[in-house]
Amino acid sequence: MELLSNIALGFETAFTAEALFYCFLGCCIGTFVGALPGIGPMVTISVALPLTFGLDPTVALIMLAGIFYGAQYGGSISSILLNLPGTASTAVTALDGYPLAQSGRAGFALFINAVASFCGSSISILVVMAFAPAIAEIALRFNSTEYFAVMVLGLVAACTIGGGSPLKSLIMVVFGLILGIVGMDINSGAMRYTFGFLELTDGISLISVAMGMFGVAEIVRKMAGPSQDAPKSMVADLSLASMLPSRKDLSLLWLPTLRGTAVGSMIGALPGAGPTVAAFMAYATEKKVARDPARFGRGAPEGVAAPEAANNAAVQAAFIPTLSLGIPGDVVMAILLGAMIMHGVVPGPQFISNEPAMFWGLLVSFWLGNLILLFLNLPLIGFLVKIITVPGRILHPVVIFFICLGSYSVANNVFDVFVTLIFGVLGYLLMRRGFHPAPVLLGFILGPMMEENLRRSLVIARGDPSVFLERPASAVMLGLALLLVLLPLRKPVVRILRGRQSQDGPPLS
Amino acid sequence: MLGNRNVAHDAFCLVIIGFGLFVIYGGIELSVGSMRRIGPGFFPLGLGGLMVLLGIGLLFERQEDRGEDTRNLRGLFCVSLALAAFAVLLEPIGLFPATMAMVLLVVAAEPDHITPLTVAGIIAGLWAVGYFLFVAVLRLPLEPISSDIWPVF
Repeated sequence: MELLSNIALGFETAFTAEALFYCFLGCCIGTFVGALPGIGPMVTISVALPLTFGLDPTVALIMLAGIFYGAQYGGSISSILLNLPGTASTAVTALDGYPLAQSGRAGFALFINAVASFCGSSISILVVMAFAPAIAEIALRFNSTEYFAVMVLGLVAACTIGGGSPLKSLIMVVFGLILGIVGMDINSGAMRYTFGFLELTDGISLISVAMGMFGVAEIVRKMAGPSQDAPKSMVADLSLASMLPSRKDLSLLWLPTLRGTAVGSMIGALPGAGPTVAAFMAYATEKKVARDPARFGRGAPEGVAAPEAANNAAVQAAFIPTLSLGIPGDVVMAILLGAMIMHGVVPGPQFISNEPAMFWGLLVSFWLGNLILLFLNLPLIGFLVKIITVPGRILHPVVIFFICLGSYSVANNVFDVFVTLIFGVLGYLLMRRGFHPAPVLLGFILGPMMEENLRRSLVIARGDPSVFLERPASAVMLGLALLLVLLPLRKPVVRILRGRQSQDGPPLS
Repeated sequence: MLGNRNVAHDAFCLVIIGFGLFVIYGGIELSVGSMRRIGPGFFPLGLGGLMVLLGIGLLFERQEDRGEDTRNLRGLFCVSLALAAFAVLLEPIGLFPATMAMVLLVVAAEPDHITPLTVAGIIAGLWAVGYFLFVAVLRLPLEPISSDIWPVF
């Protein structure tokens, strides 16, 4: 019964006019930027973050989160209609969504997308409601030693699970941790790596790092991309009649939707593997269990339903570690966590018990937001298609403008615009060398918390570092982290040991 | 093993190692403290050391050939200049001229042709957004055109 009273509290918080309005606004903005190829939810949330400073923290988070999950709906619209994924997590949807649209069933594909997304999200929100408070309760028994170990494990997992070179990701995490040090040390008052800039006393602005490395760098990369011309939108029958599935379709689709949801909820809660991985895994699962896998890629409705349920479920499940432990699993969660901190909310296991109205209000608002998206999306598709076709050359100056004013508005200081510029250049150069900027932000957010917990652990243990191995929970977590680091290293080590023989060995992934 | 090494990659690894050493140096300058009571330099020292180790590890990682290799130095230069111009002009001259300079520089970075009318349209649109959203609603302390150069009576 406690759950019911908590949900009632959530409804109370989420049903105020202000909360509803900003939830609606966030979902609209999210759909819009999700549909636009090139501007992800990440940049949008960083731009919107300083604009929410005047709002109540709960309302601000409701809106910022709305942008995140709204973008999943919007992204699939461009995937289905234009074969042009608006966000990476909806790329799989294009595999079967676009062929469906080409065969004249665009409306049907969009309908499946909306309904599967809604189911995925709704079920996953229930999973969050069940698990987040339970995990937080366990985590409340943690002291700083375990907390430090959880953060190490979270960061290492985020680097090694997501794909790409784990070594490069680890370098980026450490770089992020180092960036997090900049500013005045809260314990000694010493200025660290500020190079005499007073503006850096409070540290480097999260918004500058995020907008520089994701926004500016991404735009420079896009400009060099092949085609800048607006994609031709398909002329499609988007009437309501064309959208409704038959009874046979429905009986075919409910299982893939549920499977997608299950995959998404599990993957989403893990650090490092966000909605993109979840969507790919769900698609692969469907292909495996299908009686006739050859249909996939030619317009199989399950190929839309499962990944869409999965990416939306993953987006919601990603809130489990963020809200229960204060540890973000991916970049967008890192930004949202940064938003909480900027609004004066302390993340961590105490969050749910300290701010019940906020926690439950957020979850209920997610559900409301998904309901809004379900009904908002279908009638707005025609309008969205027009917007998607805005060419990059018009979009880019607009995005840079928001990035400039967004960085300025954090402290009303042009210094932050220059910091954004530096991170933009750095982000671009790193990207060209195959380094992904996402782990930088994870490290940047967790850095100060890690240092504080390390310091406390050592104070409690009277300077004995073996405390991290003596406490069982922390030893297990650090052991797991070490294992995750060592696993991908075995190949290069073997190669080096074998010396010259390796020259024709298999390439590393 | 040393036959066909990628010079750019090795140089980049050295930059990473150098950066780690720099962080270590900064940490030592800040006082490391003792294990019982760690100083402000302790955590940076550890991270710098980790960075050096990871940089050395990267020297031994085999690099894949990446297909997509279009360097966009012109884009990088123009967009950087656009942000810098905006930052330099914003406070002394005003939001409108800063926005105009920024848009012109970003447009110069585009490989595609773009008509002057479109550019004018973008600038006018951003002026409206900048004034109504950021100055009027969000109350950023900015003037459309600085009163130092365009006195208001």
